[in-house]
Order: sequence, then structure tokens, then C-alpha cells
Amino acid sequence: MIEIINLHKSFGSQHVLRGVNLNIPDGKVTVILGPSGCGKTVLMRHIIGLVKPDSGRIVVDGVDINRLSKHELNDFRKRFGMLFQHAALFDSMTVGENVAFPLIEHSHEKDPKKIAATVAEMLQLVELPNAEHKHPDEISGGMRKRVGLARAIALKPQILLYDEPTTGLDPIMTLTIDNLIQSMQHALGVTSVVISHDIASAFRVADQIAMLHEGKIVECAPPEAFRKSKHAVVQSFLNVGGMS
Amino acid sequence: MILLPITEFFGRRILLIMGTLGSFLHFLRDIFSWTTRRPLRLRLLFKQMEFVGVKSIWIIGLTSFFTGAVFALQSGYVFTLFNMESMVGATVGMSLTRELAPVFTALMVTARACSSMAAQIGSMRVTEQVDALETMAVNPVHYLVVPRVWATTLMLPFLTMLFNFIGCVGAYFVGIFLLSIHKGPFMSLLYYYVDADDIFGGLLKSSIFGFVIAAISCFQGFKAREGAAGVGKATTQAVVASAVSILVLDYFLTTWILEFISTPGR
Repeated sequence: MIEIINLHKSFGSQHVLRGVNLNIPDGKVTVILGPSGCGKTVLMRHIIGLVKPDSGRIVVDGVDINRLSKHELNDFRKRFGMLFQHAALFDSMTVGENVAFPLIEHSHEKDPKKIAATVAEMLQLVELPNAEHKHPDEISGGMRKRVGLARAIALKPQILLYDEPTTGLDPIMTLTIDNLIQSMQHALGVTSVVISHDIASAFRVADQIAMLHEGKIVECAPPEAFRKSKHAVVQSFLNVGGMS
Repeated sequence: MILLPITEFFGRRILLIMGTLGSFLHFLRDIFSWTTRRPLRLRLLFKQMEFVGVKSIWIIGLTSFFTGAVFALQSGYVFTLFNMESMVGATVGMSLTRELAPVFTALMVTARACSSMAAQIGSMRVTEQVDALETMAVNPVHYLVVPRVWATTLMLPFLTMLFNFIGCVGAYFVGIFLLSIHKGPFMSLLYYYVDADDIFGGLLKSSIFGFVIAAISCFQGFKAREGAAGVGKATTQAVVASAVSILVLDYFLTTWILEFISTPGR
């Protein structure tokens, strides 16, 4: 369970998060919706401790991550996997080396053959078999995201964070990524947090949808209840997305 | 009232400089704090030693030969006025070991390797690769900075030693073949005046330069923001700050070495 309690964050004079409160249940997909620039990514970076809040708490499985030392936080992050908006693959490594990276760093397995087998298994899971020797600049945006996902799940994390996983993708690739998010959920039973402004995609994958508006969560409910929300901002967002 | 904008301008500049200096000191603390943590990442250290050291050999060889040669040429013409041409070897040897080799080597490594460190880390920063490392529970200072900084610290003395040797070879060629100085006095005065303290002092300086230039370059890379322009800015700042630091630090280190290490009276 991830609890976000009264979270505030400003950058200079810009007050981005103004008291965010949200509970993210275990083993479910929670989608945080909101327009571009509303602070969704900032919120996600708080969850994994990349950004320190001005005030408020992030409690993950009973641990307040802002009270951890740098070294403790570094160890704590092994519970997480994160897919970045632009995949953030290491451009000096091949696809296979990217996926193997967390395994080499953290798994107890040191046998290169067994690591290669795990890499192949992860790439198979994201429907990219035999892509180990390709370089990140030789593959498409959708493939890069899938490689990023394979890297994120390589250590079988408890929590998976997706930062705008479908942004910039064509409808077919968007559907592929949505299916992957769901299949990861079923295969690994992880807690997933998806940051998105893609309403259709959110309704496809979510067990719970939260709406971030002007630095606060204005609505949080399962998809059907979310659709019926009386909140004006939610209705306006759904109308624009053709989902009301 | 007219003074207000001026004081505000300087006040802001001072705050910015102090803020950057504070961040750099935190960065140095992180380098030391992560240096002794496991895994020791020896493979990355050796890879960086190859990049900083082995791949700089040609450029150091070329620049050192011509530095020694031109210094011998200039000093030879001056010493001819006093009939002291045989002092060319000793003069070049002492200048190289004490000053020219550590400073020029550090400047060349800044241009060749440290600029690349700043650009590479800066590029990783703006494309979220540094954040990706953090999310995978790999500390970026531990993975990217520690091997680079210690590799540069270790390799600079070797490159400086190479600079000393090839610089002397350049001086020998010019002295013996162009200025027609006798080999005997050239070599014997070189041996007599250049001793272990000079060489050790120069190597110590070069090692400190190595630590400082690599730390500055990695720090600038870490500070990079706002895409390709930010990476370019970080690289420029890394080269300028490293070059200035080498020359400023050289004065203070030389003062300290002359006081505590060099043998007096020569």
C-alpha cells in the first residue's frame, strides 16, 4: 500500500502540488489522470524518492521514504520498477545489456548464461523476442518503451511505475502497451501506478482512477464510479476525451 | 537609490557562486562517501583508466615533444648570449618536471577526456538516464562519478611522467642537433639539477589536478538541464572551470611543495 499524505511541492514561485492525498492499494492498477503540466510526473518522482517534498509524507508499506537516509533509500528502491516517458534506455548499451543491467547489479545470479536466459524471458514477456543485440537508436519509440518495461520488471519488483506509457504512440502500439500493463499485472501481481492523460487508455487498464487538478486529487474511484463523478473538472475532462 | 540595482546584481551573483560552491562540496562528500561502498566497480575503474590514460598517450606524446623542443629552442637562444648553452637540458628538465608537465598534461586531459565526461553525464542527465539509474537502486555518483574521478587521479601521474620523458627527448633533439650543444654537458647537467623531489612534486600536483578536473567535469555534467543546449553549456563550463582551477591551484600547490617537499638551496 502506498499512502500519499498532504504532499506539497513548489519549484520557485510555482506551487505544483498543493496537498495531495491518495491511497494506492496493493496488487491493483491505479491511474493518475490529469492534463499536461498539472504535476503528475512530479508526483510520481516523489513516490520513488527522486524528489523531496516541501511537506507531507509518502508511506510505502509502512515506511516513510523521506525519513530514509540516502543509502537506505537506494536499497529501498529495489522494490520499484519504473518505465520512463521516453524509456530512458542507456544509449551506450544494447537492448540486452539494458535489460541485464538491474540483474547484474542486484540479482544473486552471476552466471552470464542464466542472466542471458532471464533477459530473453523478459523480452519475450514484452513481445520483443531476439532483440538483445539491437541498439536503442535502431528501434522505434514503442519498442523502446517495451524494452524499458522489460528492464523495469527484470528484478520482479513489487511496485511498477509507468510515466505516460502511451504518449507519442500510435493507436495500435497504445493498445499493445495497455495490454502489456494488464498482462504484467496478471503475471507478476504487482502494484501499478500509471501517470497518463490518455482517458481511453486509463479506462482500459485501471482498477482505480485518480484525477489530479491544480495540485490536488479531486476525484479517486473505480472506473465506472469515476465515469459518473459529479465533479465538474472530471466531467469536463471526460467530455473532451469522449468518455462521459 | 541608484546603488540598489548594482548591489542586487552583485548580491545575486555572490549567492549563485556560494550556492554552486556548496553543491560542489556536497558532491565531493558524496564521492568520498561512495568510494568505499561495495561493489567496488573495478571493471568500470579500469575502463575509465583506459579512456583517460591509454587513449591520451598519443596526444600527450605529441604535445610534450613539441613543448620540450620549443622550450629548448627559446632557452638555447637566450643561453647562447651568456655562453651557457649546456644549461638547456637542466632548464628544460626542471621546468618540465616542476611545472610544464603537470599543468599541460592536466590541460590536455581536460580537453580530451574531462570534456567528454561532462558531455556524457550531461546527456544522460537530460535524457533521464541518470534518474533511471537511481530508480534501479544504483547511485549515479557511485556508478558514474567515482570510477571517473579515481581513474583520472591515478592516470594523471603516469601521463605526466610520459610528458616529462618525451619533453626531454624533444629538448635533446633540438639541443643536440639544432643548437649543436655537446651531449655530455647537456645530459650531465640535466641529471645533476633534476632530482627526485622535482619529479615527485610534479606527480603529486598532477594527481591532485586529476581529482579536481574530473570532479568538476562530472559535477557540471550532473548540473546539465534543458536538452542539447544545456549539455553544451555544461561541457563549456567544465572545460573553463577545470582550466582555471588547474592554473589557480598550481600556484598554491607550488607554494606548498616548495615549502615542504623540494630540497632548498638548488
